[in-house]
Amino acid sequence: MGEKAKRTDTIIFSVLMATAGALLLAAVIAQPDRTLVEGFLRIQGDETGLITDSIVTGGRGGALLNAGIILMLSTLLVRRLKMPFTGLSVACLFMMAGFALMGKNLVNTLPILAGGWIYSLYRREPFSKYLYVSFFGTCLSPMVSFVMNNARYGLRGLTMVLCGVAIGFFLPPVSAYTVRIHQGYNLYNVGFAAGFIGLGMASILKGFGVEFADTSSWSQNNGILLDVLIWGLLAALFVLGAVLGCRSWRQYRPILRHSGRAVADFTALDGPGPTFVNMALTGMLGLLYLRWMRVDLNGPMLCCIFSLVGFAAFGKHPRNVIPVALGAVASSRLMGNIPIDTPTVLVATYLCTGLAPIAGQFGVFWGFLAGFMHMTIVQHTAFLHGGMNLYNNGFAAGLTCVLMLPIIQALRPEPEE
Amino acid sequence: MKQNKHIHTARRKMNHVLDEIYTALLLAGGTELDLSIRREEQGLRLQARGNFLPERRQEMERMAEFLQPEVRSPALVEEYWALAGGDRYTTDSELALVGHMVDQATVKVEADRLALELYIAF
Repeated sequence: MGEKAKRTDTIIFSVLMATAGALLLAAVIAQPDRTLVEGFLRIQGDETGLITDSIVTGGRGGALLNAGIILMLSTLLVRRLKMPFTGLSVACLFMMAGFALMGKNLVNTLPILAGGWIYSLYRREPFSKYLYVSFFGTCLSPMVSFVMNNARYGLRGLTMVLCGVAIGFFLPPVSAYTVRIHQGYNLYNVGFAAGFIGLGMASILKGFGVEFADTSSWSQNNGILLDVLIWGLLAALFVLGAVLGCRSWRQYRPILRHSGRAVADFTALDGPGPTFVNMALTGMLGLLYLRWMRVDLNGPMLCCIFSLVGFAAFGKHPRNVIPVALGAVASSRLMGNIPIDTPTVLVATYLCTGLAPIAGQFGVFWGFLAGFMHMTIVQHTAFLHGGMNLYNNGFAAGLTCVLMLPIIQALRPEPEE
Repeated sequence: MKQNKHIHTARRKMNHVLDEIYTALLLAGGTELDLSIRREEQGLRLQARGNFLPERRQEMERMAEFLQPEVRSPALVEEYWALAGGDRYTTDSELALVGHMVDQATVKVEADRLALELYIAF
């Protein structure tokens, strides 16, 4: 590895570890007593679903502790496997941290990672090749929790492990296939693949008479700590970006010219400085919308901000995110059955930005339309996998691509050369 | 048996790499392209030579940078390699992907000509 690459690698690793440290510190500040560990343990054994606020389950401290530990261990695993830290690493690990506030925990993610490892043994390839897919694949962790909580006594441990291993084992080939379907225009590719695996597994379980109960939860009035944490993180990213050389519009602007279509690793294409500034600006945009909507930060909302910030190192920037999000907002404003301030709609407004590459590549109009369609489609996808896929928006975004991309390409003129 | 499987994957990857390379050169105003592929004992070697419009030299230099990254990420390739080539709205990010897909790359850019050699191991 050359000097420049080594430096970028060290910076990204340090940012991820510092973020994990900040989450752990905030956890201790939130619950400086034994309820912290009790809350953390409650999260590990709880049944989760599509929008499960870990703060409701284990308190602010327990949820932040869960997120901090998951981020730290995931980052150390990437390091242990000697993988380079890239924009994809940032996106993936921020998603791990974010969704640890909305359903993921150590117990329900480990069997899926084990499945990915077993797949790598089967393929006789290093596990590092499948690590990110396995990390993203933990979006099906509610399925593992569901089995753990509902299987017959005595068989719970075994069935939970088998379920997680099966998910981790089958996800890599499915996700390698689904990427060809949406051609990189859905940034949440594994969410799309996981939707199909979830659909298959939920259908089998429903065939045996299993019913999936709604386990949604949504906390409010969480105080100022979460605001301080996220604004502090974004401010630190902005300052770090400036220190690394992105101090003017001219230095930042090149990021905005990318469509964001995968693979758009901003750390490699434009360097870590502009990437960190982009992460900060994109995240601030998300926070400002939250303020405007007068919605309190909680587990799911923090998760949305984390995914927005993480993918701002791998495809998202304000220019391609805004049209899609506006389309989603317009959809919920126009349609009476999609109230704008419900948890599902709020989460979808943020996570529809997985379709940002459509706006980046084909323009504002198509981006807006993609967001509009996404918001309507996502209302009807959760029941397909029983609410067991945390990246339900990734699944819906993939379906939106299947619907829209052929139409866009048929109606648009050939690109000029 | 195992080696055959790797040959198959390398061949499929080379298809995508070829698509990306000739598209990039044609988009840069190239009028003459020579592409040759050699199957060696341990991998496939692509040699390409071509011209481009002198005013597009900066793009070619950027391509050279992308094809010779300081560090390659096999995890990125595993999930995304199928995206290289085939998209008529090609962006330079796919050239960066090609840089991760190949195992060795040498690219020489002159005023209006380019020569490159890419190698994908089985």
